Amino acid sequence: MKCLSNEKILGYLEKSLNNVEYSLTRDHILSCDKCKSTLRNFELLEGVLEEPSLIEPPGEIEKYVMAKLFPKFSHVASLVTLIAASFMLLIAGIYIYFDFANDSMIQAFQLTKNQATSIISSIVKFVSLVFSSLFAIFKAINTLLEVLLNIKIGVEVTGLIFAFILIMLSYLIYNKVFIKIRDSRQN
Amino acid sequence: MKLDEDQSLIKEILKGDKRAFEKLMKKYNRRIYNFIYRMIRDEESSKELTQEFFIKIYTVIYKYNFQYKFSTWAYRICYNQVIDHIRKNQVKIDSLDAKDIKQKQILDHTGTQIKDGYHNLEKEEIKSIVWKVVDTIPVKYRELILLRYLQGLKYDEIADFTGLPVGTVKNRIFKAKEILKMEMLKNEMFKQ
Repeated sequence: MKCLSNEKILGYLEKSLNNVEYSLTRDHILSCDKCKSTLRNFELLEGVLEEPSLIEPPGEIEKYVMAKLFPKFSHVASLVTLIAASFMLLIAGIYIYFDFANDSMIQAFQLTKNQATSIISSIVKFVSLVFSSLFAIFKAINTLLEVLLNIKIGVEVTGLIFAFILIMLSYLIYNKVFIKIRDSRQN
Repeated sequence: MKLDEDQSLIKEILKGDKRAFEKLMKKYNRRIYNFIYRMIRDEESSKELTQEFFIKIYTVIYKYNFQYKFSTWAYRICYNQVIDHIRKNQVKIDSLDAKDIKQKQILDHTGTQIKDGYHNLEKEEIKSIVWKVVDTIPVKYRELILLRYLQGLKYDEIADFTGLPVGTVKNRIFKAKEILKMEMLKNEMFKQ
């Protein structure tokens, strides 16, 4: 009696044979020790394959993915941005209200000193200091551009260019330095 | 439409619940890592690919169609990612040197007693050895064994993933099992 092919035995095991083939295969297996043994080996193999032996993945996978998708750093960055934006708004507000451009800074300071609390007074003092320092820098750059390159763009435009360069620099520093530090910590 | 556990988690993820995503990742991390690792057999690349996989899943989760099983959708993304990695990096994924496996893992057990037709090994040991032998078989068989048994896919799903006809998938899986059985017999893990 010729033994069954492995394919037939596997088909029998997976119940993928038609009714006639299935019965014939079953009858053969019952009377053939070699095919019975082959079936038993395939059964054991099937049982083992169905319960895969899994390697434990490195623990940092989940941590890395969570940090990448939900970075904690962004909360800090948003908070800093919010504070900076509020501060800028405050400066702009005070600037517009007291019309610093027309040299009424001292007058404004006097007003706040007499009528408002010391906190507001200090804020105005600080803002006026920042404003005058920035204004001095813009004026200097403007003069330098005018003398060296004969370019007349005005203090306000110089200020805008200066602010743009500052924002770009901050963005670069954020990307290159902070994200690198964060990634190296996560790895 | 009744949602299964994965789909309920996806609903939560779409609402912005990061804990739901963490739960989903914990559930699939082992299987995904194991599939990738057994395909490319490089720890560092497997780790990176698993991380990339979960980041990708999160970014494309809005595309998931609730009519299908999440696992099948995710495994397809994983399979394509591994195949892309292999193509791009021309990773050598041919079988391991079978001699290594025999010497290191199998021959250690040849002195055991025969009982009830099999060597008297614990099922866990046999499992571990069989899966190590899986790593030694040619990749065209190995990938199908992994898709079938590690990811629990049906023949037609595997055919859909790999682009092979269902008949070829079945034949290759049968052939893979024959190879595995032969290896186990050769090393006296199974009785003739």
